[in-house]
Amino acid sequence: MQRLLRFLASDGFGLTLLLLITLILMIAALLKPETAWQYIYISPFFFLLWVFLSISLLCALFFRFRFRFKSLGSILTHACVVLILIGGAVSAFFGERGFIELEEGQSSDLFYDDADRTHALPFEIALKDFSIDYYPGQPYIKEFRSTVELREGNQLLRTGKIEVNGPLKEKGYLLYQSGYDEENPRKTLLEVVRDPGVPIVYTGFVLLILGLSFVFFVKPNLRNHAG
Amino acid sequence: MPDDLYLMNVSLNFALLEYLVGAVLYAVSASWKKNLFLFARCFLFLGFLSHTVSMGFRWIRAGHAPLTNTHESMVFLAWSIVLLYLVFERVYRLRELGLWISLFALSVLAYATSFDKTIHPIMPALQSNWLVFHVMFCMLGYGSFAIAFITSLGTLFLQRTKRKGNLLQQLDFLSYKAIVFGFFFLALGIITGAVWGNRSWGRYWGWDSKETWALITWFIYGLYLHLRATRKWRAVSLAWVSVIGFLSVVFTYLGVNYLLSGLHSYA
Repeated sequence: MQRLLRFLASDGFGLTLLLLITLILMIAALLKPETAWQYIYISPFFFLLWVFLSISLLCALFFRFRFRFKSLGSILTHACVVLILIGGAVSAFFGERGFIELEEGQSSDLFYDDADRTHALPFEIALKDFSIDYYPGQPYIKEFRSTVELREGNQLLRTGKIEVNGPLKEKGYLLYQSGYDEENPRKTLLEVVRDPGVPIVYTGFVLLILGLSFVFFVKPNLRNHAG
Repeated sequence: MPDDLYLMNVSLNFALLEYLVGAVLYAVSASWKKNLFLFARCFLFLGFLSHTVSMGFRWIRAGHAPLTNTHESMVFLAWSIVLLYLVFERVYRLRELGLWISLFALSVLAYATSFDKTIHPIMPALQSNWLVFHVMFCMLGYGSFAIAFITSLGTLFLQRTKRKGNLLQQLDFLSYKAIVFGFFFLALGIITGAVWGNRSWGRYWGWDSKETWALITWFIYGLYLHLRATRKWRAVSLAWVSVIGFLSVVFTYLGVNYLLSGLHSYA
């Protein structure tokens, strides 16, 4: 048991895994996207690789790293990689995403995912208006937006605008302006996303940058001061 | 009164010329007239100023930060390389590489002018401050890795000529420092890209070919840092890892656009 733990916590194991993942990603990124998704990104063995990497990092954190002020940055950085991976798993397993198509005046509380399965929303979306802005005197689109009302039963929750880069949030669901019907400019395409992994991943991002800053820019100066 | 588009082109051509003169002076100062070194640095700095002015005019003309297509990002990449080198030259007193760095920046800038230079209004998905930071950090990262690539080639060359010793250790240290900055900037670049993706289409990671290659590049340099810190690899072996890392940078930045398809087709 002790020998197994020592092996899992070793830098040799961790670095070999990292190299293996890098090589597999190279293969995946050179394949056609559909093939890569089917055989790599959503396959159990790919998931297992990340699980092993997390285990290796956790074992190293608990059994190999020495907890001192000097190693704070390194500990934070490696812990954040695990945190981001956990967030990614939460997104993959507990997230929902799909699309709604609405014409002005229509409303719906259902959306459809990639596999055409129906998902229910805890509220109803009604499209009041859809508009496209062009750059003055040019055929280029500047912005397009949907004005919607969100209702629950007879009660109006809120009205709001959904723009590209400006999603609307309600009850954990985010509504994105994804596209529109080119033949019918009164019809909008919204993407619906519920992703409980995002807060975890974002926490990981912020702390990772703090950790790296400590390792690269604070720690070297600490050592100089100590002598 | 010349318009800003004209001034943008003129200052860019001036930058190219000044980098070229800088490179020649670096070559001369390295081989025999040591006192020309100051002039070389002067010309590199002048080129840097013209380069900055040119980007400024483009910014004014376009009405948004000039970081939205291959031409603009590559102009910024060349600018980052020169900026990082000027800082490095001051902090770490590395003079021997001036020639190679200015030649490299010159080629990147010249190559940038071969791409479509027209200013188009930007499409809705690209109207985001996250995008500006994303491209900026990625280019600063690639620029740092470019410097590490040159110092690593220097290490490998020195090892061949058997002129080992002080300079080799110095180059190895510089590669390490450049990679530290590159690793940090690329982390910021990938993260701001993820946040932008989440703001734009509700997905912070989608295994798009370019983001996957960026992650591969980050992992390669991550391996470099670990091999150096915990495995105590020697300068020459590390230099090879750095060269491989830079090949991955080139593939991430250019190869993906030409050979693979994906979200990043516009950059």
